[in-house]
Amino acid sequence: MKFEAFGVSINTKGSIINPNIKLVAYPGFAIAILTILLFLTISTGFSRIQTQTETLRAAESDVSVLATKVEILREISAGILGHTDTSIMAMPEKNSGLWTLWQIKSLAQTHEVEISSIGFGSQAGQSGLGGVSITFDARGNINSIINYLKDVETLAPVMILDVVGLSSDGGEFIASTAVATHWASLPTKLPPLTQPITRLSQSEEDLLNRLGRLNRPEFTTLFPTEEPSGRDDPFN
Amino acid sequence: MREINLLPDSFKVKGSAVKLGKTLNKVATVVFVTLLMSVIVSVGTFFLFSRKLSDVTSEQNQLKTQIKALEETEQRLVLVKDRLEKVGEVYAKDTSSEEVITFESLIASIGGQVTLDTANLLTGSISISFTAENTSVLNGVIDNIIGSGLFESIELTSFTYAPEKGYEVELLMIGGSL
Repeated sequence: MKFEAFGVSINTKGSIINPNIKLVAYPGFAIAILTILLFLTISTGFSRIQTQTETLRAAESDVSVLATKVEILREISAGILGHTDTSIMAMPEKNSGLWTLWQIKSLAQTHEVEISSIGFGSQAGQSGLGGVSITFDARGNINSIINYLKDVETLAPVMILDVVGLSSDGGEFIASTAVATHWASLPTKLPPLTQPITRLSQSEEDLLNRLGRLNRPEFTTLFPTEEPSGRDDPFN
Repeated sequence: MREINLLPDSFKVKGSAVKLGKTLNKVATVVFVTLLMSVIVSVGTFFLFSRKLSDVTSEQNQLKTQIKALEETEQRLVLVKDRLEKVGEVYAKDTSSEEVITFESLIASIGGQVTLDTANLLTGSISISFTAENTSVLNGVIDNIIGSGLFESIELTSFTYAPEKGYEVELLMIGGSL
């Protein structure tokens, strides 16, 4: 504010703050504010970008896994998948004791071996495997018994020849035998979509081919009988 | 008209303060430009990544749809692999099947020279007992067993003589292999 008196102009304008301080304080204050804003921008932006990069990387990894999965599932040969029944027959879902017994007896007939003294015992399983041990005596000539015992492990479901004790009895031999067979419940869920899958390895394919050569039990399919026709009329 | 400044001399602006003020102004400008650039770069990168992420997610969804369509194949593959794993565990167990084959070779090598009484086929070992009419037959059988190379060690566990039957011999043979 100016006022004039006696031909003299008096300047009362100006603040109490020292102009030297004012000259430095304003840009200093601006620098401080801008620095804080810069820091916030960089830290927030960097953390956002970092999170996004991680998400993108994870998504790209998933895409890679999924693409490989699709490729494997498309390439996998129908022949291998046709062995699904073979694999289930070799390792059934439920107690396979009766199938095994039926197979053992059928094989005995083929080799002219007589089966007696059949017994069942539990077989300790591991990692979800159930098991039963079947004991029996196989009677016949030595060559028949040897051939019979050699063929036991060619039967489905897979069985393991546990113990064999041979003793002669009036020109024939009796083989006191124990055979173990196993089963395991089927997988109940598929692995997560983004979990990678692998093709069957060479050893797995070899094992699958081996299972394919096992002699399966024969099943009889029972068809429903024809519906009964009307009763004959005895008066006509 | 004359102008009179009533402010004290201490309020006069100093040259060094002007210089410092100019420098600070320059610094403030640089910081401001840096802030502006940071904002532009951050927003640009964020936008770019968002777009890329959107593309990848879309591709991911397409692949998931394809896998859903191939679910039956996957189920079969998982099932076959599971069964093979379990069968592998069973086949890894000890079995006497190799001993049966070894025993067959053993029977072929001793032929009908002796009377086989008993045999026990266990994993890794076979024990047999047999009767030989005389020592020459017994020697021949023992030579044949040793010569067959079927076993790593052969142990004579029992040896008796009965005038009416002959020599009753029990052998434990370990490490049967063909």
